[in-house]
Amino acid sequence: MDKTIDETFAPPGLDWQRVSPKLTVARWISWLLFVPIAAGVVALLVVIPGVPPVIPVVVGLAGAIAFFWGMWFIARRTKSWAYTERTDDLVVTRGFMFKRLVIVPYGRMQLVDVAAGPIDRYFGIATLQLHTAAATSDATIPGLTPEVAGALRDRLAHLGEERAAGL
Amino acid sequence: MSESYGQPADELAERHQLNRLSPLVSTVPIIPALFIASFFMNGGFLWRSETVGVPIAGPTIVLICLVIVGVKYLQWRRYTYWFDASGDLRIDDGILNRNERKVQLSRLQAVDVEQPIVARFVGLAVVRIDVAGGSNSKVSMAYLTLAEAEAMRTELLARAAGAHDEDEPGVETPEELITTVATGDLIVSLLLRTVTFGLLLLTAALFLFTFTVEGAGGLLLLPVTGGIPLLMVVSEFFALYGFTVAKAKDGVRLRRGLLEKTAQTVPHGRVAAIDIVEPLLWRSRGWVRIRLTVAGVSSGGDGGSQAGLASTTLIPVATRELAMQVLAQVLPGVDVDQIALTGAPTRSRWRAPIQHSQLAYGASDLVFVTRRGYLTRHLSVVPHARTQSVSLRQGPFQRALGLSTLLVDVAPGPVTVEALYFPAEAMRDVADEQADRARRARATDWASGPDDSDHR
Repeated sequence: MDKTIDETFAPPGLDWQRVSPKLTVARWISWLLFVPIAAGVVALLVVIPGVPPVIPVVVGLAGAIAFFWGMWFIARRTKSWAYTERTDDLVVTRGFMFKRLVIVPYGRMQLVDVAAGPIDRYFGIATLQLHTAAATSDATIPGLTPEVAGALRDRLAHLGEERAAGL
Repeated sequence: MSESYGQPADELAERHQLNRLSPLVSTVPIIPALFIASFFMNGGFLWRSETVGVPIAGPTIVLICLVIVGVKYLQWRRYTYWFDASGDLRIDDGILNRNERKVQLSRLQAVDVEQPIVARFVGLAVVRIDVAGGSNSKVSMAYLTLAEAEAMRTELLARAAGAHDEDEPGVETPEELITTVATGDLIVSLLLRTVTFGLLLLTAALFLFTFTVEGAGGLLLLPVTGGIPLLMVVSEFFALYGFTVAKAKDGVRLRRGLLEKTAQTVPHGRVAAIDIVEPLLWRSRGWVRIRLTVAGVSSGGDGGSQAGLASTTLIPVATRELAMQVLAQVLPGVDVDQIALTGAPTRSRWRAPIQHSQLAYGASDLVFVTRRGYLTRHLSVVPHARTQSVSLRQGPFQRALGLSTLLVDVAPGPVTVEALYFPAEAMRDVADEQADRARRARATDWASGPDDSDHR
């Protein structure tokens, strides 16, 4: 276990499964949208008459720092995702700034969803989501290859049926 | 709930219809709206006689009403209900889109008998049925006579509990009254709620400010600061008036309402979570309020409608002792005062300077409890058997202090069960333990009543 996961939120001694590194790249793509927006703002500051030339330079530098910080932050956050299947429950851990550990007993799962948006499909990854009778149960695992996601879904659905416990 | 069409009808089952006054009774509440609309439409020209020689509004309203009654009559003719061979309720209705529904009674969560004001005058009532799961899980039967509606409730609850006896169908068992909330207590308690009282104070401050300083601009805020609490108090008073709690064979019966009367039944073992609420200004009187979450009756979230608020209230105001008696009815064997609570560490003061002294959690062999809030104190209780999932959360601020928050997820409703700001390491073990307790409790589900058929 490397340092990307806080031990408090990932009890050691469990078989933690990491998500695909492609997830980081897929999330970076969305973050790239930031570039044209920031470039537009800088261009505007250059064009508008009467703005001292130092302002677009400062804004541009701040934008560049924010951009790289965002890239780093996204990488840390996506790498923090991990899950493990225990005998009676699925455990998901995630988060870099806001950490979260979710334990969902198999008997309480009502629905297992696998979804993939266009960017995710391009990179060949999918997101698996668990639903219980509680709307606040927030167990999502992104960055799974379709085979892993499909197999996990079938396994969870089977375990859920076996241990169904009503509401 | 909906069943595919073309299911063989139960030839033997006797089909019933709703009360024949239903089309009329459901049309009457529309009439005032029609009048109001006619007055405002095009500056009220419908009520001036110069245009056509007569005020055209009268005949128009009569015509619209007749059409509505006609449509509702056709709907009423199509609406039939019966109990099928497997003992479940079937409803067949719809003119253009025919719809045959099967209400699976093993999943029944609650049955309400409501009397809207018009129906009350003619002795009719609506039966509302909540079945767990899906958005289409609510069924209402409007209208039956009050006696029929009550018999229907008894029948549904008896069938749901698997105690249906063919020889004596639908015998209303005598109820044992536990308590009635006094009208005076209700009014005082509504006025002393933290939100209401805060807004009233603000109103008083505004008045004072306006009289000491020149200019009345501040008075523009009066409708907000004074109007909202007034509306809240009045609407809650109407909804919660005459609140009684009674013990019936099939669960706990809650009756309430001034104009519109409602009798709600919480069947045994259907409570997902409860919240014992103590606003600051109630504490000197020793009053508490209890809200509850029943799966399927979710409606009232924290900012939910007044109807939602009323339908998730177990008791609007009572002394703690009395409230505990009521609580014992829905969560038998649970005594929250006997549960040892662990308080939050001193350093949680940095994260929660006001409420830190109240923060606590604890567990017994049946329930998990958390306490939070200073201005309004919440003691939330969830049976282990109703725990859905467990999560541990930590933001940057909490991490700096080595704290975390444990959340026990329950069915949607007014109750949030969270243990705020406890040491992260310890809470991870508590989360694990809670998941384990939940699993064991499900194996021997004490709260599920005599026959929980949704076990497979």
